[in-house]
Amino acid sequence: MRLELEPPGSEDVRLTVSELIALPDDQRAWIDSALGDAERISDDHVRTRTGWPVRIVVTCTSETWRAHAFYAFFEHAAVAVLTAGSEDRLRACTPVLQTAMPCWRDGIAALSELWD
Amino acid sequence: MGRWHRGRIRTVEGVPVPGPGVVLLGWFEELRHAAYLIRPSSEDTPCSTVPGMIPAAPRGWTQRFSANLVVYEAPDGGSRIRCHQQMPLEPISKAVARVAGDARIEDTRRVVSGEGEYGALCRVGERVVAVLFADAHAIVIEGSVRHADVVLDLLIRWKLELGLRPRRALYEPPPGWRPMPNALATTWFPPGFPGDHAELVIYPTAPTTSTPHDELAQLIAVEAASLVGEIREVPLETEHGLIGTHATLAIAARGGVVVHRDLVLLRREPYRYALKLEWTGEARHREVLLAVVRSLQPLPVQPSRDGASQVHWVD
Repeated sequence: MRLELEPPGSEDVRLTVSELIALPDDQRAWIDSALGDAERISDDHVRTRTGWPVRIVVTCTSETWRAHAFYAFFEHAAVAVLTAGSEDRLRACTPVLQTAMPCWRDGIAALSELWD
Repeated sequence: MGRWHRGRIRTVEGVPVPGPGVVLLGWFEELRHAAYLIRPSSEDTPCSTVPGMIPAAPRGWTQRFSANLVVYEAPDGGSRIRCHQQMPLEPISKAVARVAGDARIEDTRRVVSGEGEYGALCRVGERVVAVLFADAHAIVIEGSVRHADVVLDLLIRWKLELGLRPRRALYEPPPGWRPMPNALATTWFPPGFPGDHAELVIYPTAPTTSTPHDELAQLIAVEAASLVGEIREVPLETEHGLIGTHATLAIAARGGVVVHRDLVLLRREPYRYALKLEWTGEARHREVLLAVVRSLQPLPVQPSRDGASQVHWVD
């Protein structure tokens, strides 16, 4: 099971994507752990293009800017991280975080897929 | 009837197996040459074969066992058929890639085993590969194209012994919808979900003696207190011979939201087929449900047993 989203479209902006995991009981602790001690520049509760809830937190550590997107898909969760060298480059790419879709597929979903 | 012997366990080659156990040897009129060997699981004798009925070697062929592998050697000794017993349940292209590399697959056919289980047969260069699909794993049989008939015969005679049980239904998934598998059931969501709030659930096909109308009544009774308006029910019959009912109803959910529901219950002995479309807002996906219903295939039913000799391994 994985998270699917469009690429950032810029070579100097890096995107890393987690697997889908079971939604943590303590989501605040999960988010705090992922963000660490980085300075939080912004923190927005928004939705993906199709309507899934996502929390996007922008942080800055020395010369590195990051946008963490924390998703909840029913009882599963995932995080995507954009990394850039400047805030402008990062902000230009953050809309891709709202293209995310869950892929719950973990093997076949329908019998007909076996005869591909 | 035959005679039964209690004693020390030996392999089919006659080698004693450490540990407690019982050898049962029976000579029956209809199974004159069959040996039923019960092997114990112990640290001294790791047993890797799965429970099931492994077809006896065709006349003139020899049969050998290895780790999760059964090998049949042709009478001339120049060709082997390998049966891989514990392979993942995956599309045939991936199964072929595991045993034959990235060679091009030709002539893929859907086949059904003697037990009524689905399988596939295809040609890969000068080899043929047959795959027998269980619920959670697969048997992959590969051999020379010269022995395609033997490969197919082994697949047809391979016994998984899964019996009459809930199974995945065979249908064409709705194009563009995203699946969320849940064991043998799958829920499909439209591309715009959750903004486009709908879900289509394909339940496992299950053996039942109830009629679709009775099962529908049971389902509706659970939520009778939340029903909004009337239940509409129309008879339904598909071109594949499934007969049942299509009901539409509405339920009052939390927050005053009205949830609309289409329930389709179909039957063809001995199985029941069930689908549910649920949505809020406009009714936009009923045609998607009906397309899936039209594509539903009745599951094969197990024909009579062929009575062929078998070697039965039980861990």
